Amino acid sequence: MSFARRNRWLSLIAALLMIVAACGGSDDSDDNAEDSTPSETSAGSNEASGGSGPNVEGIDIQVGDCAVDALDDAGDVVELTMWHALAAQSKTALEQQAERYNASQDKVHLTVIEQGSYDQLQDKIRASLGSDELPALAIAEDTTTQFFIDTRSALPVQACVDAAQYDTSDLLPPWIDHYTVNDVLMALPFASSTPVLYYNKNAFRAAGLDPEKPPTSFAELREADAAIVESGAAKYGLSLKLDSWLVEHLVRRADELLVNHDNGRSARADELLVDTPLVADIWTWLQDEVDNGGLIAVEDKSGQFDHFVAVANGNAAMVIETSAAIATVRALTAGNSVDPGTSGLDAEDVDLSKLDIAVAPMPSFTELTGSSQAGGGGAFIMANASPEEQAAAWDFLEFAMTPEEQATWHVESSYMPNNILAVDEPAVKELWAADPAFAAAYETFENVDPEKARGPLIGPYQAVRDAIEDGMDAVVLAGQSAADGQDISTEKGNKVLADWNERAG
Amino acid sequence: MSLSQTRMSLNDGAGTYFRSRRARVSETLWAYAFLAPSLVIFAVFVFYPLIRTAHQTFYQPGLYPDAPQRYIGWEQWTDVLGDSDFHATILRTLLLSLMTVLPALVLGLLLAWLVNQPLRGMSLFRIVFSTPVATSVAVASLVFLILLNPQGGILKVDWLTRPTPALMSVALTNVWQNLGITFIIILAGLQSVPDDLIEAAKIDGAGPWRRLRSVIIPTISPTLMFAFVILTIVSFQTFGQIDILTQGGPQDATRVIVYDIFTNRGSDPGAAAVKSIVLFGGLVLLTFIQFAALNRRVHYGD
Repeated sequence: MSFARRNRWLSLIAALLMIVAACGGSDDSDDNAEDSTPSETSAGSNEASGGSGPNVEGIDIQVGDCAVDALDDAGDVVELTMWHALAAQSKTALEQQAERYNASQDKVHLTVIEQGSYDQLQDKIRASLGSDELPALAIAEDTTTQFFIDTRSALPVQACVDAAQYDTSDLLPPWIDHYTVNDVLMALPFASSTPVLYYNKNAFRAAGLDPEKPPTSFAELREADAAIVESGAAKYGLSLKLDSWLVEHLVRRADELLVNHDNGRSARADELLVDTPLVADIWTWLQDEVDNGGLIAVEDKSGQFDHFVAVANGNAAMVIETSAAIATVRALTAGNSVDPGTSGLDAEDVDLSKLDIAVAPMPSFTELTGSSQAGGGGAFIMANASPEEQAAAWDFLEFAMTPEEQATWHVESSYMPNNILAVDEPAVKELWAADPAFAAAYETFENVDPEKARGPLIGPYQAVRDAIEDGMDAVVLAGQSAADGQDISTEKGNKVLADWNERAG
Repeated sequence: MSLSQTRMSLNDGAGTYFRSRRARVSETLWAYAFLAPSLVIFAVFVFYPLIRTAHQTFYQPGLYPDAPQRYIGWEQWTDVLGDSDFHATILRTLLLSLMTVLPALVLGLLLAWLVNQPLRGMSLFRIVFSTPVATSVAVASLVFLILLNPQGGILKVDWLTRPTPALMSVALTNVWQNLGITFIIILAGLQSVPDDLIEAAKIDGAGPWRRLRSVIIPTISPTLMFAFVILTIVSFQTFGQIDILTQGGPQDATRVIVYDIFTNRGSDPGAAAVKSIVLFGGLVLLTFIQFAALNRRVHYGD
């Protein structure tokens, strides 16, 4: 018996050793092959001409070729797949836009596929890198630009802009600047949004506040919280998801940086700059407001809608969230049912008589009202799609960016009109006159200096956000000091940045 | 039940070991022939990924698909093993396991014992108590999410948003989810307890409680041990419940090893690989300890 058992183990170990040998061998040959690849590409590179703007040191972007005429030669209808992470009303608006595009021409058939949240979409892209599973077009979060550069997985939109001699000057300038790295436009602004303040006018009236004068600063926000709680108009004043995104926008508004090297725009960022008086003040403000009972703060996790639900069921009077939710909020308050899986609640569950939701620009934390940060989702064309698919992707984007399409897009999705000419379209004018909520977000970006609206370039953006939220949660939810929270975020964030930069080589 | 049968057949077949050497060799060959299909599947889906993962712990992958890997030796191992957050994650995993295995085992035994009483309508309860088996993790977790959500939930409790109750809520969901399989395993064990053994205990004047404690539990101890090992492994691999209920939060209070690996896999694949190997090694070790420790106390029956 002992012999039999030993024999079994021996054969198992032998089998394992064979597998080790096999994969060890294959890896060595992989390494050899890989060593030659990068040098080849940089030798035959098609680098962008060095323009006027500041360049990120150590980042080499291959613009590549975009065969915009490939559709003319393609015999069959080109199947174009687009991944996105839009939810609720925005998702419906996108699907309708795809239908209009498909009806408008017969060379391309566009299929849109929802991939959950922006994080999940990026995970799927990451997992599919180098495989045939990638779509030709993806609406990825605006924060993924550096990820696409470092993973070499996107064909810079610049290639198509150049090949088609497309004029981008009518597209939202802050966003164009946001997606431009080393003078190469990486993505077209597509699902553009920014944080706004949603507030329930009825609660404001009940609390004796002027419903036409929403808070414009965090100091006023605190006063409003106190008035609302004291009057019993709602249990809480403000409802918030503790999202790093909120901190990032407040920091940008105060004209400060999130990471070093000019927010990663002059060289690879290797230091997270949350150890500042501003961030300490923001977190302390949130902590105090939770302690005062003025703020209900919930953790950031995917599928987190509790902060919206708190306003919908009258528990809170205000919430700061993306402007892209306006259409969904309007659909809900009009009594239309919205897919509860992607909006968190159903119209049936809401007492609409209590709600009179208005929208205002996000209050600023400091006196400096620098600018909001460009945000939302950008349209990235994938590098390993076929030339026909890339041409199809570009064809759809050109269709989507026309003023008429952008007017419809804005009206239906509440994303910003990416083409500034869309604001002169009758549909937009009518909507803004009828419902100023839609205009509020756009106003934040009129006459803004693009330099100040563009966000940081960070490769491991999501991991940096996790680091920021770890610190913020420790302060706001666990009652630790702001300094402790900043230490947590700084340590984790710097490690994540260092790891990424090492891998980038 | 199955374990005791195997053991008995081994005893019965003791004579075969003394047959001719040739017969033994051909028997071994036959055994491998029958094992081959499962070995192939294991090799492709378990051993190969395992070896790749082990290999990955020594390399830092590049960022783009064909990027060269960089050999970094034990750096990732020392990073992970020296990380106090990871130590906390291991402790938390053990705690969750404890809060899952013991209640599931006790409840499973209790329910199986109750259902095993010769009363009317017991088959109905048998079906009811087995249903968690047929419920997917996603559905079970969503049910608990709907029950527990503080804003829109049915109970409107604040459990998932505070650290300690959050871990307990995950354990609760786990217990419910695993109760079905525990119940079925233990019930099968109970039904194999010979009636004459119970009768004899009754004649000796043992009440129901005494019969459970002194006769039934010792007799089904191999089954209980099997359930114990299975539950431990399953609880260590808790994922769906956490992903749906808490996503590792609040403040990492429900970040167990598997979830930690999941969140590391994109941003830090090396750390994820090290943690996977640690989890694997830990489970193997734990299973060996359980068998070694419990084998002495388990009554396999002769």
